[in-house]
Amino acid sequence: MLLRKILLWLALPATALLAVWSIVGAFLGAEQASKLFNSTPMVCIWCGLAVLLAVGVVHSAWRLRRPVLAVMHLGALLIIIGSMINSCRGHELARYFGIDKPVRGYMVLFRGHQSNSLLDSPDGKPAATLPFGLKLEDCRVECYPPADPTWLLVAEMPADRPAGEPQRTLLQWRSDKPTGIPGTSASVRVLRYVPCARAIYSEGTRRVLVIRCRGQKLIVPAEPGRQVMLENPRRSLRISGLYTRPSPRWNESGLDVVEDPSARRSPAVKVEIEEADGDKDKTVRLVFQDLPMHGQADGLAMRYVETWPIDAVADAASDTPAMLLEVSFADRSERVWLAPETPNMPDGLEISSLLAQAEKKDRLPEVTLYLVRPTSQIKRYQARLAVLESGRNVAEKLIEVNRPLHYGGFHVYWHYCDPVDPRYVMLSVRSDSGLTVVYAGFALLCGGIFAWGWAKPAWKSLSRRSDNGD
Amino acid sequence: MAINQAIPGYLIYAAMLAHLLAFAVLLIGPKRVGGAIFAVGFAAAAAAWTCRWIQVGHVPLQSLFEVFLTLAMLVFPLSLFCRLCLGVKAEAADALVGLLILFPAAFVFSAEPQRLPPALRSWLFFPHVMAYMLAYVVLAKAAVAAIGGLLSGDASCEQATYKMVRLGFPLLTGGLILGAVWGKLAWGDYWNWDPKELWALATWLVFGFYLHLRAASNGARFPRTSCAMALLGVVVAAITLLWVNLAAKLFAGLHSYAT
Ligand code: HEM
Repeated sequence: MLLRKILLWLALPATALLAVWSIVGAFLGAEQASKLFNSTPMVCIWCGLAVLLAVGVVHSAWRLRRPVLAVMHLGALLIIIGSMINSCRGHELARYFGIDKPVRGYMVLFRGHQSNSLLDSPDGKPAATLPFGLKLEDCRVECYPPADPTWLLVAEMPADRPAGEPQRTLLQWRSDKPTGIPGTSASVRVLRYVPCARAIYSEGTRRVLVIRCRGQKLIVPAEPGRQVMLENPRRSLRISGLYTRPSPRWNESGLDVVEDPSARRSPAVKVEIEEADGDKDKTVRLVFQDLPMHGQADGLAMRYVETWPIDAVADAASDTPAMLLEVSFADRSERVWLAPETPNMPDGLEISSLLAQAEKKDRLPEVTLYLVRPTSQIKRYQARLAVLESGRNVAEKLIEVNRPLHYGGFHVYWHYCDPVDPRYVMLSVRSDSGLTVVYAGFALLCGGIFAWGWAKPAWKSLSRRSDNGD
Repeated sequence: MAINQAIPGYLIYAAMLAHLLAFAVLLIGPKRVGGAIFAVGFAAAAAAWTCRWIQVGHVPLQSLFEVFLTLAMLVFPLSLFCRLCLGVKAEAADALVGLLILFPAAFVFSAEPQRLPPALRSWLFFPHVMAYMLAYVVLAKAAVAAIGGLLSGDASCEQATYKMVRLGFPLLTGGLILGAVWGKLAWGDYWNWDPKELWALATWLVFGFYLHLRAASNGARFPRTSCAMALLGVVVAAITLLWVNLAAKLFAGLHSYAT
């Protein structure tokens, strides 16, 4: 019974020390705490604790004849031993015995690609290899439906600095009163919101090229690749590019236009004109929306016109809305439909061009209004992995958070992927050495403690003891 | 199913009122009536909890609002169990504890419903958190008994404290181990040394210390010391539950989304 006393009095400083270090570690944060608990002095303390527990297990089993105590302390002992095997030092030690296994690592896999190379950190260098290959068959992101499916109305102002980000403001439009558009004295009021809508455009498309040629008038959807034939003289017109901030450059081969984010916003369309019979070189023209007279030459007048939907109808098949806005500035106001063209792609309404169409652009800042799909929270990330052994597909699993792949002594976890564009996946890989020991420890510790605390005989003996005035 | 967002709120107010009344009646009036009002308070809390479950579409154990609602709902059944099976009688105190737990659920924490992020979508979510919820309520009862023991030095209060720890310590252990198993599945490591885990470990170790101390000194001989240790354990447990969640920004641990 003396040994029992000694063990108990040794267990006290051991538990107290660990409790105090845990609290210190909680203040240090995970990274520092991990270093603290894996430091060399701590390794000595862990070993000492393991010895104490081992003696305690033997003592409570053979001398005290309390198997329940033995089981729970054995559980604690196994957790410590298993964790030692699973640790970095444990793996270093195993290397002396010829077991060379990476402890952990990360792998970036693109869809359809395979690899067995492990990085030392998510953005680190290749540091180890797996004894098998992994191939990413597919990955996908599943979202919850948004709590409120109503789209958001956003006002975007260009950045105040050349390299800056545009400023976006969410407009609170759900009232009958007009809402001010930040940075301007303009305001907007939503007259109608059609949740599932099909927008109707006057010319069948949103931007059109209006071509006048000797009494002939053609309206062509402004889409790259569109081609029309004109008579008298016979020539072909081909739309070869659309630009929002064009930067035209002249070189030997003629006009070259590139989209330049730092350029002034000035939507334009590039048109290639080719004489049908002549052997003249084709000419290239840039037709600007803001400069209606610019496209005139050779009896050919072109205008690049931005049209907004003229109406919108409810359409159950659509998953995009439409909104009827009333935009007011000074003494003018215009009604206009706003609709997103494609999901997630902001399709803006530039209020300055709406309100200043007829007149010179007065001091109305370049503000674009657009509809944004409400963000929905991510429900699950999934990646389908194939395990390859010498090129052969030997196993396959659909992994996700909480469902790793276990193969060949390693667990493979989903770690990260771009929720918007899940083309590649970051996996994290962990060695499973010692894990069985740890889990056995969990089971024994938990089972032992429940048996000690909850099992009926425990309570019976307790009440008997308290009856005896214990 | 659509349930008016405000309904759990009204039910929580009703539960608070019932707990307050139950406390007063248990203290000065007939015990049976007080017990019946306590049961009504439980029914209201349980109804609020059920509504919440239907509203958010998952077991309401995610936000602090939901955690406190759950804790409050468990007070009455555990009080009943401890009285009938373990002979630990503290109904009035339990009603007061229920009231104190309901208060922040009603007035402090945001009841904004949240979706389960991918990491919380696991079968271990319910047992892991529920084990802790049960443990915390039992530990609250231990704290009440320990305060009694600390003030009076009474051996029966010390006994009650020990019984409560004996009931709660396995739950703490289970919660901790289920958390470790879950961490392994979700993050790849069963132990990440993050602050919440370390506080939970410290809680467990303080109770381990308490149990060994009691075994070494035969508890009843130094009731005040024993009660003080148990109370320290409850304080560390409360820090684990609350402070780490609220100070999540300070520590940026893996558990920080669970606010
Ligand atoms: C660190 C994790 C540990 C836990 C969770 C733990 C838990 C427990 C529990 C619950 C009891 C029962 C107390 C009672 O019967 O009232 C106990 C008893 C005991 N523990 Fe531990 N213990 C731990 C570590 C240790 C260590 C390191 C030792 C070795 C020195 C030890 C030695 C003992 C002994 C000898 C008893 C018998 C007490 C008695 O006869 O009443 N424990 N332990």
